[in-house]
Amino acid sequence: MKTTRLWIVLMGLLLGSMAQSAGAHGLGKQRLERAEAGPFRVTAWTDPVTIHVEDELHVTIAVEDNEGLVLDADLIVTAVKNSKRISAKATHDRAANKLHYEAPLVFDQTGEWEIVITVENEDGSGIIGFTIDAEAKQSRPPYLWIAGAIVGLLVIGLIVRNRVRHL
Amino acid sequence: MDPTLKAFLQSWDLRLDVCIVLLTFGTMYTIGWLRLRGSRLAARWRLASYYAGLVLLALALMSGIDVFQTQLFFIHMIQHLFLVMLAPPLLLWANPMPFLMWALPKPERRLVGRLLTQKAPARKWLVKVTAPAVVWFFYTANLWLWHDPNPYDSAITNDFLHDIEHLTFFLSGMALWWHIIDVSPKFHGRRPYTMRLMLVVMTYFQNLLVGVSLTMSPELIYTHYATVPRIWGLSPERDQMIGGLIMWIPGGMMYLIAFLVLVARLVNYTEHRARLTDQKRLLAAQGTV
Repeated sequence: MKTTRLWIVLMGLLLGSMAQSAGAHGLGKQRLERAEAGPFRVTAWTDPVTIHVEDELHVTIAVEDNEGLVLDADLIVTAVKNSKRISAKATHDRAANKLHYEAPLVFDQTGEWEIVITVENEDGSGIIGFTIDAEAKQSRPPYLWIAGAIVGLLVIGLIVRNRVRHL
Repeated sequence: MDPTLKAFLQSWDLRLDVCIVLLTFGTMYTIGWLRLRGSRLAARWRLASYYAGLVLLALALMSGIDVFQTQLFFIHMIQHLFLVMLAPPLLLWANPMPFLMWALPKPERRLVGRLLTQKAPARKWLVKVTAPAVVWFFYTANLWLWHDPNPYDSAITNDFLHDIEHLTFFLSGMALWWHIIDVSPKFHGRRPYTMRLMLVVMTYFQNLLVGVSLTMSPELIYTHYATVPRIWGLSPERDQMIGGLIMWIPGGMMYLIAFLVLVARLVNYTEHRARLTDQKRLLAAQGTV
């Protein structure tokens, strides 16, 4: 009985994880490609590709100079819309790839936001930006979770039916 | 230590979905192994082989290999090597079917058993879709499809497609090595050595063709790598050449090893059969004297 319970818990976790597997884990959409910012060249990606109000946007940044990747810079990412400003420090700790910097941003208004990246180290400083559209928050049904739950229920149903038959 | 190498070793993307799937299969195999402990089947090396396969999958999908593959083509080829040519043989060498079955509670074990009996429709369907020719075609089509520049560049910037790419690579690898290693479930009976050798040789040449094409290409095939910062001063073209060489040489080595092992076994098997025939003849001759 103990093993049965363990097995059912494991199956549940397995199915749940399958439903979760479409979660983002890549760089996302490339917004800048080696754009000049003072003495630096900046490449930036944003994830998720479509950003909704109140969702967390990940801005991933790679900084290069003439000698290669720069790993000791201070980076600030600021989102500007009219008089509204949201800032976050981009760090290696937040990035999966430790050669990159990453900053989280959460928008509270729909429309076009300007994303400004400030890079600074002892060799100098530079500023570069791009724009991004924030869409209204969507209450989309969690299709993957629903599909996962249906598969889970079918498996449990099959197990119960099988056991009832052999009582 | 080189800062890029240090960053590579520190870069991890611990994905909950991957962790749960690997832990589930690892736990199920261990439960089955413990239940069958004492039998000839439950050897320690099988457990070690299964764990090694799971560790390779974890490294391929969550370590710096997965994180850096968006920046370096050759790292992506190493990742594919892990998913197609290293993890599947290790997992299958452990003969997972009986152990995973024995991890199930008795009623569910019987249920799966019933689904796989000789006359069960599920088994008949499985026999058709896993026929060696079908498996080889799926493996080859998959290999060529994902190395075409359009699907490749799309997959590297789209998480969902990228997961599908890795899943199809892993499943096609599992199906192919299942026939080559000849482990249970044996829906197709005992696979003849000639068929297994043919599968190895035919797959080796497909792999060789892709590897050589990538290595020798004078142009950059996957344009994504021209848009990302370069590491270790490797140009995208040089990176592509190294990636092709990885597919060509270490990838080819795996098939060469499988070929040599199968030839050695075939020789042993033929000698054993010849000895048995001789013994039978001798006994028959003694009987007539």
